[in-house]
Amino acid sequence: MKPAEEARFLGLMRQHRAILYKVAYGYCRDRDERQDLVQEMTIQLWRAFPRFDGRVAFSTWAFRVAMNTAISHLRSEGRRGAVTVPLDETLAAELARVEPWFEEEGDNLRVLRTLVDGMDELNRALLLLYLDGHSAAEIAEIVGITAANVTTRMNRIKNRLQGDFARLAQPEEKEWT
Amino acid sequence: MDVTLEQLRSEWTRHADRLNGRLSEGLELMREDALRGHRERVKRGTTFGPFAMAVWIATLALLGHFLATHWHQPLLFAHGLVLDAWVIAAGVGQLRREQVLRGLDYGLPVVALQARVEELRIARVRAFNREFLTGQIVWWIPLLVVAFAGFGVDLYAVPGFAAFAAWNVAAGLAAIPLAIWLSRRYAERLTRHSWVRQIADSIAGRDIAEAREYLARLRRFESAD
Repeated sequence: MKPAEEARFLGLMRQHRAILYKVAYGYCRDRDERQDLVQEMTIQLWRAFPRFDGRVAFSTWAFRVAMNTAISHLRSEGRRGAVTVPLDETLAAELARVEPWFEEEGDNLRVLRTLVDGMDELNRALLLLYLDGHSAAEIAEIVGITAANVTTRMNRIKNRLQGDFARLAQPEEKEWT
Repeated sequence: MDVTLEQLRSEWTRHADRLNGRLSEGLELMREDALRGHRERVKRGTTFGPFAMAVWIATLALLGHFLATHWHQPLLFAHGLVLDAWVIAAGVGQLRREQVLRGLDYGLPVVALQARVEELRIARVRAFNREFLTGQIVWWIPLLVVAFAGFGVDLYAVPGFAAFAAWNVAAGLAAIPLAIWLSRRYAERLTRHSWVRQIADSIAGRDIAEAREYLARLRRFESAD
């Protein structure tokens, strides 16, 4: 990467690096594994950046790279090409500062996270992007399916979660009464 | 308790705002030097790295030398040729797979990239099976003959070696279907994380079946079924 490109990449990453932590939130429970994943996403973004041609927004592209890395990490196949390297100290410092964020969610999000753990990695991507405020068209662009398909699948997820959420949240409510 | 996904979306927005707050505290991070550090470590950690490459080239050079010095001895030359062909095929295959893996564009939409990864997985398992099973023939007699010939000993001059070699090659050929049968029958009983189990799963075709199933799932996901 040329110095100008590198500077552009770093500038964009400073603006959008929350994406990495949001995706890690959706795909990783374990603290150590999460650190590996965030580092792997950073490396993968840096490797893929020369191919970023601006046809989609940087955030769309970054979500694609982060989610592809997370899914490959989960399924372990993509890791064959990945390289395990010691955690960079600057990244380690940032991770240490961000780490409490993963646990400071409210009760509802905690219940949701438990439900998300039971979902397959593709539906998990849809839900995460929906929660993050993306439209069906944007989600379609990231995931690579049609917007109509996104809407259909989101309706199914909503219906399923509604029932599961009530069932999972119930015992906690009883304890407080 | 009745919580809608829209309410959760609002809660998530507030949660994400807290993340932005934490991230804005450390703008000194993600500097050029940190990125360069990543790059150096990635270069050093490549699977088919300089050491593996040096070993591969040295093996090819040794086998090349063997072929050049034994061309007038057809039997020894043939063994060297078989070994050389196997080493070239295995090394080139590994290099090509790594090149393809490194060339994967993670900026592609999720479904497209994941399908590509699964196709590569199938190709990798097939190549491993091919190399492992043909290795059952190549790794024994040809390697033994070439290694001894390298030190000036012609094993075929030893009485009974030709018969031993013929039986060994026959056993190697028989080991291929036997390994497949044993893997299919007993792989389930092996420890989940052992390397033996991984090889058995690969030979038995379970990895390929799993990859095909995932590809089918991706297709269903694309078509909203």
